Amino acid sequence: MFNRLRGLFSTDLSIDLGTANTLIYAKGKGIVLNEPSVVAIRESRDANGTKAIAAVGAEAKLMLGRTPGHITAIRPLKDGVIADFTVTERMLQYFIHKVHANKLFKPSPRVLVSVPCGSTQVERRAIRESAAGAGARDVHLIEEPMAAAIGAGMPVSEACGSMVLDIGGGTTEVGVMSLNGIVYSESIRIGGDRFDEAIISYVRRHYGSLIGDTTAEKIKMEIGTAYPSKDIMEISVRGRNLAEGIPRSVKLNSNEILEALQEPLQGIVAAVKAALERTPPELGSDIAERGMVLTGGGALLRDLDRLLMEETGLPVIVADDPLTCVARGGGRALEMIENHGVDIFHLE
Amino acid sequence: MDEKLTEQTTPEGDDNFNSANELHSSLESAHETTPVVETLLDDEDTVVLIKGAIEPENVVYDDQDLSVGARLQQAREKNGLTQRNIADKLHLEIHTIQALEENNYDTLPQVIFIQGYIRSYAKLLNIAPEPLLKKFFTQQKDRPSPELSFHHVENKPSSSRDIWFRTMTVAIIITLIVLVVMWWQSMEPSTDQNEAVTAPDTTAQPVDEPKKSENVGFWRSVTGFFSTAQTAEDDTPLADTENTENTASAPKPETAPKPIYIEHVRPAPPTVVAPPVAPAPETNVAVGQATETTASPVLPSVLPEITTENTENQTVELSPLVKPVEEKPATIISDKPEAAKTTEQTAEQKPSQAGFVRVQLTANGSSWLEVKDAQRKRLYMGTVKTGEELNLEGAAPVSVVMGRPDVLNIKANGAPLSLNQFTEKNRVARFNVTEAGGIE
Repeated sequence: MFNRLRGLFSTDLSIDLGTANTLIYAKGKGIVLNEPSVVAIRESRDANGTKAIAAVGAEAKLMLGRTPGHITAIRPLKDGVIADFTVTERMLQYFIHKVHANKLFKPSPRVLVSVPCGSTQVERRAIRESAAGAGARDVHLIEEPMAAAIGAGMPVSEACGSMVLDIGGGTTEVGVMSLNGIVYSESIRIGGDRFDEAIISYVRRHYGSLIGDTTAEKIKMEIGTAYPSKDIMEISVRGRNLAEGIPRSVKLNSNEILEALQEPLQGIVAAVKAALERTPPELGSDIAERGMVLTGGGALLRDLDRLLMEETGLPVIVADDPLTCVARGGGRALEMIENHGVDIFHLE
Repeated sequence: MDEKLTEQTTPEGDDNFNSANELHSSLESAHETTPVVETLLDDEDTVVLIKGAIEPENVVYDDQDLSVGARLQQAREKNGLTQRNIADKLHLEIHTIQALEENNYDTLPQVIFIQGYIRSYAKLLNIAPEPLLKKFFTQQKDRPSPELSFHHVENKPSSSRDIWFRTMTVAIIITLIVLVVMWWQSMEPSTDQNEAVTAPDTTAQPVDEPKKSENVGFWRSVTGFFSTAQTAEDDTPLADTENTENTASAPKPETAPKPIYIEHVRPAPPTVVAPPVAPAPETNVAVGQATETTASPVLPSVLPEITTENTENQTVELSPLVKPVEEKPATIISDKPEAAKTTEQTAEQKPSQAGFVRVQLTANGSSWLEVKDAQRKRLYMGTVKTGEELNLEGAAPVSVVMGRPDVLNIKANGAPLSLNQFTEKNRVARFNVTEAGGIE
């Protein structure tokens, strides 16, 4: 009752609680928050060792890997699911408050959170409870492929197959949708983070240098590619030489990164092929005619669409603004839920 | 398409931008492979500057350069590729490539796909996809966005429920409105009644009667679309003063079977009547009982006369009936001042039937009043004004609720009733008037 009253002063939110970034879409306002899912925790020096939030989001990400002993910058989500429940809850709380500028009332929004389709009941419950703990009065969960497809503008409600490949930070979701429902979905724990790890291990193996996550991410963004190309790009990064123990500069080119990324890329290709294999033929023919859509941060990897086109022989399309597809799709889903009731999607 | 684009931008007075756009694309097509020009041109301000240097007249641009499809086709031909090559590389059908180059988007799927095809196509030909996409979306503005159709389809699953819900809502609202109107109309006649009561001119014509009889019944008053038969029926238990002139004809319904009643009585209201349910033979019995029990002491002697006459005459002759009634007044209104209005007199003359009680009210001030008979039928509801007199009759006990008992004089079957118990307390009076004329 009182919650409902407070709800009048809150905006309904769609949250893409991702491993790498958390995005919040507010109804009627668009994307209102796009911050890394990182929390920095400061441990007080008194005997109790009480912990306090030092920074959240972009600010905390700068601290990642650069913290002194009493501060830990952590990513509370791992592989698309919650690894640290309380920290996730605090982070969500912080984000929800940040979105609601007016401080007069404690916000109590209705919230739609996207979850990986492969997440277990326990993981879903953790997400639901952390959102509720962060002040949401009503929590709906939507599976990421569905949200991504809606956000990309695919005709998910029509009786034709729409295939979406959402490569996030922690997971890659493959989904085939038709008539507002998921026909097939698969979630593999390969994502942007795995790309970074692959680059780190490649550099260590081939150059004997250790680089950090942030550097690896930078390499991926600047010269990462998924398909061989004529023009070769180079980047020079600094890592600690394992033999000497001294930071040294390392020069990497795009072909090396392509090689480094082979393993996770093959995992994604295999997941796509498996999805196509299990898709009913009618829907498969729809997909073959129109193509599959790439969303998520992974879609920004250079020539990933080319790779998938060559591997599957199907048209592959990169969605417009792939990073925000899931959050936008969740926002659209919220509106549709408002108009047509929860039953419109198979939500939990 | 391109003409449309020009038309769109020109009215905005953005000539610079417009020609810059054209220049942009023409230059782009000329120097596709020079990335420097590309980046320069991405900045619109720069383009405007360049425009100052190169006169637009000197630049030969084909209108087709502005269209997305033509742009792609041009780039493809420049690279010496066929549509088939492109289709193979993008794993698309050749007709999709054709449609793209002809800007024929109707045969293509949703915007997201078209946009993706354009992007892939442009990337394949090493031209920047963004300007093309911008152009594409500008063109798309003119046509209904497929995303809307997405919403339309979205509506379908629940539309049936929506319609059902809407119909129910409308039905409930209409019902409410009808009820309110009925209630309103039931209120309205009460003013009619007042008029009728205050000015019960003695020459009341039988023809006027149906209108006057409206005053009491709820249903009756509402409608006018109820049959006159029903109207008459409803009237029967309610002996009203305004009808008193017609007392002569009134007795008829007592004995006459309904159809006859309707035929003959319609003009003349039933002042002294059996309840509507009673068919002819039964009424006789009822009347007989009435006489025996003398429940209504005023009229016992009249009733047999009337009934017998009625049965004999079959309600055809009116005049004989008047006589017995007129003979009465002496006995009935003996307690009344001579100056009593004729209406009152006649009202009192009317025979009250067994189980019925007649209530007369005289107002010395205005007061809210509601009178209901034993069947909960509302005989009167409204505000009586100073000087108004009401004669109501209904099945006993009649329940009376009055706002100001101190300004109302009430008589039951002609005998005045004391309202002291209510006036003392100065509150709303609620009581029942029994058949015998007492207060409960």
